[in-house]
Amino acid sequence: MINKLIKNRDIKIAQAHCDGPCGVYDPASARIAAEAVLSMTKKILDLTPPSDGDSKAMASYLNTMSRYIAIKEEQAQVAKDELLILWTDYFKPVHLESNPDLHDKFWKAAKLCSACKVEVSREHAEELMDAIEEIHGIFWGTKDRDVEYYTAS
Amino acid sequence: MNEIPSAGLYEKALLVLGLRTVYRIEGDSMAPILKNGEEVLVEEGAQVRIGDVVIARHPFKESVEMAKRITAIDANGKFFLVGDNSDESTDSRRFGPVSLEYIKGKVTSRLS
Repeated sequence: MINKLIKNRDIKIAQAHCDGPCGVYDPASARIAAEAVLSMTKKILDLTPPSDGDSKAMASYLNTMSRYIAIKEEQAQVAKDELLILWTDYFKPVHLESNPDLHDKFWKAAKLCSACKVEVSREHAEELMDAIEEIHGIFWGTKDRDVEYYTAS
Repeated sequence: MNEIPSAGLYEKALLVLGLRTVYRIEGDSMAPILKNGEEVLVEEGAQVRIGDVVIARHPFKESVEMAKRITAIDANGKFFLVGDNSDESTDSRRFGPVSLEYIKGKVTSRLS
């Protein structure tokens, strides 16, 4: 009787999870930042200094170079932050069963972010992209989804 | 840690009388005490104390209500809310202690 009475009742929702928005993870955010790092690294390496004595051209060169460096360092940090969120928030102990080297992969990828931030290394920037592609595969594999990897540039 | 009993006749009667509100839990931050999808009865405006599981308004997201446990009350009377399953909880560790006006009520029993 009482169960009938309480059957049609309004139900409110109480959230019991993380803001996040919880459950919305995608290695794409790390990939986009890493692409910016690679792009800035290439631009830094390609930028030619002006000839001696041209102070205006030198100012422009230094300004451009400084901007490239600032963006490279910022985006390397963003890539690292995004990887750490995936590593520490998304991945759970159960995922280690199918990916026993998961910790090593994330650790090395995070280290590559640091290297790219400090250095001007096309090689390391490309290695970072490769590491993120691998993490992309592992991540979507845990969801049994075949999501194609692509790059914006 | 306060357990949450199953709703008996008394709690159900209070629900019929409009003295309890049904909330559905979404998420696992109160696991294993409250699981995702579980329904609970809440006494709105109830006296609350440390150890109680409460429904609280999110201090920065007006429309969001959360289920958390009161783990401490500070010198200013503000409530420190933490999810039992702290790995999967955004709570006072992130948004700080909340004042009484944010506490909607106390979870008194589970329906399902």
